[in-house]
Amino acid sequence: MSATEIVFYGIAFVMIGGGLGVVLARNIVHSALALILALGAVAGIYVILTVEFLALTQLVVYGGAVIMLVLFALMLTRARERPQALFGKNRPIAFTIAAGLLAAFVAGIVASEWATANPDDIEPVPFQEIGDVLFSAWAVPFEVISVVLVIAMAGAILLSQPDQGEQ
Amino acid sequence: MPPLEHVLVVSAILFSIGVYGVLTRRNAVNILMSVELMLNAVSINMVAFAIYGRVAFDNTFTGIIFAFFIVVVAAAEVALALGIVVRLFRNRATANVDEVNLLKW
Amino acid sequence: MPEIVLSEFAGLGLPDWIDALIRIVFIVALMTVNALALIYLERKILARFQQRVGPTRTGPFGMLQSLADALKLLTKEDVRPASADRWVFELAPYFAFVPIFLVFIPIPWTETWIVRDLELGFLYVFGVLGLNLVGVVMAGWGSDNKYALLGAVRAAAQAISYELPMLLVSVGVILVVAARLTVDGGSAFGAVNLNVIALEQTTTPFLLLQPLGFAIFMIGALAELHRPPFDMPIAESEVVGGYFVEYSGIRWSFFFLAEYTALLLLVVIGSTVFLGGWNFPFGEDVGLGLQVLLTIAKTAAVIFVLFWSRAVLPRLRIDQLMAFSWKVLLPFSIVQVLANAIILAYGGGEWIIGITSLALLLLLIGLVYGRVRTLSRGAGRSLNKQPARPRLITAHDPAGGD
Repeated sequence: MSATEIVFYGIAFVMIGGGLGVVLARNIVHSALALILALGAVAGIYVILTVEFLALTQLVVYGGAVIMLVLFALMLTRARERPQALFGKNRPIAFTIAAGLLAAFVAGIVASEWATANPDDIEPVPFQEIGDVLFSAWAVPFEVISVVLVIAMAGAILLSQPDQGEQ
Repeated sequence: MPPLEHVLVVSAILFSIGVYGVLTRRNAVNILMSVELMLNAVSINMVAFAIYGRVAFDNTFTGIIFAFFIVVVAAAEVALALGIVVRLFRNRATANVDEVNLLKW
Repeated sequence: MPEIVLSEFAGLGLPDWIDALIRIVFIVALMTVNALALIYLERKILARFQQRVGPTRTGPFGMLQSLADALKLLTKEDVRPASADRWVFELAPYFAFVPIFLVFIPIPWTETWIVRDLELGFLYVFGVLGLNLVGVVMAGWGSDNKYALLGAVRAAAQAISYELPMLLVSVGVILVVAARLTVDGGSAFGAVNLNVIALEQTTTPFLLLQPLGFAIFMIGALAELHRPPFDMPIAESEVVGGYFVEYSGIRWSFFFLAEYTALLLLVVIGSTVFLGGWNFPFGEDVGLGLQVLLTIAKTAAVIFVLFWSRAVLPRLRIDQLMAFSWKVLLPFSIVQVLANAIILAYGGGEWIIGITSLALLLLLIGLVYGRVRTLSRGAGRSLNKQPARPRLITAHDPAGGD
């Protein structure tokens, strides 16, 4: 096992731990912190898969967005003062569904023949080529995404504005 | 580099955790977090396919571009969903999705 | 995996892990010395501005004062409030500190003295620096203290708002660098590399091409660092010290160390990107020793200005702060980026960029000045019900009440 693989399994472990923290923590702020851990680990996996550019984008975007999420979680639910039932009654069913999904995924992954290169002779992806593709072949989707962002921003501002007379 | 199957299994585990969270959590913000987990699991899959399949499939980066778009769309989604949660909390004084059982209020 | 390039110790033939260890020890030593020195200098300089003398007792000219303070902090009892969230409270200082530590990696002290020459250095700096907020929010929430939570929320809102204009004006610089790199049909590869940005400034620092960019970058840096006039998250008179109220001893000193290290790092990045870093005005031939001196001199000059601003500027209100970022700085930086892109795309010379940026900067200064004047007049009338008595800035106006 190479050093890269050991690091990969370590990061994967952290990521799954963070994910479990998100869905199992009794305190909503703890689950938000676990989410940050999980998303940071996802960035680490991107680094291992040699896409540093994507890892940094992940950090920049989720660093800001998730912090806002944490803050809203704090302020909205008043995490300390109103301990409420965090989980619904359907835990056994949900567990069955999730476990069944996982089993199906793993079975599919193991059973499939993947047309891949030998993991050891994979070259890192030069991000300048990603940039070239992004702004030529994918230019129209890129523009559409920016329109989506603007609409989302306007929508969020409209939604969170106080009503007339409300303060 | 780990074999492709291992990356896929890791992301499948993350996705299943996200599904479990969406199904069990009652707080809207928490459901949103679980959705983020699922989105990220999908991104990992996309990137893994793009990297491992580069040689076999003629050097395209579609998976990486897709992961990039997923990150951007996730940011938009977080902004909108939080706007809705704020509105919900203001109208109903709760962020608990089980208590939002009226179509009209 | 990309191979780790060992630039300066390569000649010694050391194994990788010793090399890495040397770099880590070097950074830790630099961080500690920097924090001690900056605290001492800040106290001395502030004292001078206020016609005092500052610390004099400990060591020659009081130079050992901050060392003594550090020793006191290390031996202090580490108190944790009974109602605090134990793990969040105890881990918060490290989460606030480690990202700052990581920012050291891509910074070019000289042409070759870089921990690791990252191609995406600029993006890396912003990505990692933002994670510092996690520690701040953890501290604010984990302390179970209203003031700490308020301070943390303020810090988060402020950092997110001011990160945007900073990133945008940096894009303005990156556009100029990319245009230079592609001038002979070359690739824009490396325009985000901090060392390449420094390398492009042999004759003209980007301060001349992007004066607005430098101004906005430094204002953003002040806000990110919670320094006056943007120190609402840690303002004693408003939130009794902000997100680290409940901390004491070594955990408190971690926050302080993080703050002063971030000050050094942001200023070094600012002076590398806008003032030419190790390059301007002597270029590459001057030798490593002089290059590092040049970096230090530029950094020290900018840090002095930041200390100066602490002595002379009054604190803003939190809503003024947010409005200033979203309504003034963000539009200005977007216009700057658009102007750069259009001028470069249509083959305009770089001096046009410089003139546009300067015009924008003058417009910004004019806007702020006019706003402050109207505000101070209005405030004088409504509060005193008397003929306008100048408040705030115009108190120093030699023209007196107008």
